Amino acid sequence: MPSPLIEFQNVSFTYGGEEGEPVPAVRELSFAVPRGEFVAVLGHNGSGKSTAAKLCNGLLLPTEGKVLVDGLDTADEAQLFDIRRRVGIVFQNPDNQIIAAIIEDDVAFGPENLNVPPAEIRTRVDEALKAVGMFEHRLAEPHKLSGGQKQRVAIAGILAMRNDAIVFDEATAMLDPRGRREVMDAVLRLNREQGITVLFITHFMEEAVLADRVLVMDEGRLLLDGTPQAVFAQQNALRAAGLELPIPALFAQKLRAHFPALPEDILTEEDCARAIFRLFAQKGGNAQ
Amino acid sequence: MIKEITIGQYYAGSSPLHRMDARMKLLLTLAFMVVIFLCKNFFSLGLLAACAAVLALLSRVPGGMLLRSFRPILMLVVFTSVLNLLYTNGADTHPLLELPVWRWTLVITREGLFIAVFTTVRILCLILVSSLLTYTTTPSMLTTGLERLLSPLARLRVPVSVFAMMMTLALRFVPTLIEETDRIMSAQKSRGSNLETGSLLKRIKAFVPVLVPLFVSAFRRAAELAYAMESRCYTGSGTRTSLKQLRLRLPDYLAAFCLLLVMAGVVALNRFFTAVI
Repeated sequence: MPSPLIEFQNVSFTYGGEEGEPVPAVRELSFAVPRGEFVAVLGHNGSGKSTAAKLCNGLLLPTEGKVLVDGLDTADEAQLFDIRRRVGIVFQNPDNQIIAAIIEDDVAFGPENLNVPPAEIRTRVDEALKAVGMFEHRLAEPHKLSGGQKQRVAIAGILAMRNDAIVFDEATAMLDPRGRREVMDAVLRLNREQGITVLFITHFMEEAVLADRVLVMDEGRLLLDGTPQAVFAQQNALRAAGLELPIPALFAQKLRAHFPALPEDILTEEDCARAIFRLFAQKGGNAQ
Repeated sequence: MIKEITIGQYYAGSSPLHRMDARMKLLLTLAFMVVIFLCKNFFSLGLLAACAAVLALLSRVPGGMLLRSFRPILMLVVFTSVLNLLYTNGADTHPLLELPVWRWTLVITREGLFIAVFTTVRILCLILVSSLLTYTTTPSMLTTGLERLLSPLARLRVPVSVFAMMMTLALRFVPTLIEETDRIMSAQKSRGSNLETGSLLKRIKAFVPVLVPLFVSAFRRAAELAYAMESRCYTGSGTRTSLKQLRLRLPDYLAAFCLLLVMAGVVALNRFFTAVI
C-alpha cells in the first residue's frame, strides 16, 4: 500500500511559553489522508483545526509526534522545500496571501520560487488561472477583485506549483455566500478532475457534507472520523463539540416527526428535496 | 471610491515607449537627465526640450495627464525662478529693470532672467522625462527592470532580489492599507472622534487612534503574508526564475543610438555658442 500523502502521527502542538501559560492547541492527533481524497476538517473556534493546517507543511512544527508528507518528515529542515512543493495552503484572508500587484505575477510567484523555466511558468500560470475561471482577470489588480475572486487567485497560485495536495485553512470564512460557492465549486472540480488531494478546514457544515470524509476536532483532539453520513449521524457528539447539523439535515429531522418514512441520512439540500419528492410520490401511489 | 486607486501613474497603452524594454527605459531616462545638466546654452537646451516634446508625443499619453505631473513641483519652479531672477548679479552694468521697494532696490539683470528661464526649462524637462518613464512602465515592470539592472551588485552580496521583493510587496499593499485606513477612520468617526476640524495639532492627536490599529493590523498582515510566502516555497535566496522576460529589441538599440546623437548634438552646440550658465 502506498504511503498516505499527509500523515499525522500522535501530534501535539503547544503555543507560547515565553510569557504566561503555554497553550496546547493540538493534542495527540493522528490521522492519514490518502492521495486523491477530499477530507473536511470540522471544528468550532479554538478547536485547533487551523493549527493543524499549518502543521501540514511545516509552517509549524509539532511539539511532539511527527507529521509526514509523502513520507518526508516536516521536522527535517532540508526537506521543507520538497514538502511545500507537495502541499500548499490557501489561507483565510485573501488579502494577506496575494503577493504581487498584478494577478498573473502573483500566480507566477510559486513557480518562480521553484525555478521553473520562464516559458513553462507562462503555461502553468495560464492553465491555473483557467482552472479557477480567472483567466480574463490575469492583468487585473488584486484590490479591484471581489473576495471570492481573490480567493480563487490564491488557489491558482498554489495550482501553478503543481502540488499534490492543497490545504484550505478556513478559506471560505471571510467570503459572502456567493464567494463561498465560487470557491467550493473550484475546489470540488480540482479534486474530481485533476485528482488533487484536498484537506478542507471549515466550520460550515454545508461544505463539509460535500467531502469524501469528515474529521471533527474538539479541544485539539480528533473526535470523529468517517464519511459525512456516519459523522453527522452522531448528533450528540457533534453538539458536545459545539457543532450543529447542516440545515437540510435539521429540517429533515423535524419533518421526520411527521413523516417517519423519511430516511435518516439526509445531509444536503438535494438529498432532502429528493427524499421529499420520493415520499410524496409514494403517498400519491398509496392514495390511488 | 477606493477601487479607483491605481498605483504609480501608469497609463495603459501600446506606444513605442510602452513597448520598450524597462531596463533600457531606466538607463536612457537616467542618461537624458545627465544630458539635461550638460547643457550650457539655450541652443543645446532647446534641442533637449524638443526631444522631450517628441518623446511625449510618441508616448501618446494625454497632455492633461502630463501637465498634472508638473503640479507638485510648480511651487518649486516658481520659487527657484524668482530667487534666480532676483539674486543673480549681472556682469553688465545695465540692468533690465530697477524697482525701488521701500529701502531696497530690486534689480533684474539679463543674466538673472536667462538663468531663471534656463532652470525652469531644465526642471520641466527633468519632470517630463521621468514622468514619461512612469507613465509608460507598470510599477511591477519598473521593479523587474531595476532588479535586473542592479543584479551585478548581488555578487557584492547586496541583496538585490530581496529589495525587489520588498518593493513588490510595498506596491501590492498600498491600496490594501489605504482601504484599511479608510475603514478605521470611519469606525473612529462613528465613535465620535473628530478627524477633520480643529487645529493641526488637534488633528494630529485625533489621528493617533487611527494609526495604532493600522499598525497592529499591518503587523498581523505581515505575519500571515510570511506564512503564505513560505508556503509557496519562497526562501529569500537569490535564485528564482521569473515569468517576465526582458528582451532588448531593435527599437531599444535605436533609442539608445538616438540618445547618443542627441548627446553629441548637445556637446557640439555647447561648443559653438557661448554659455549662458
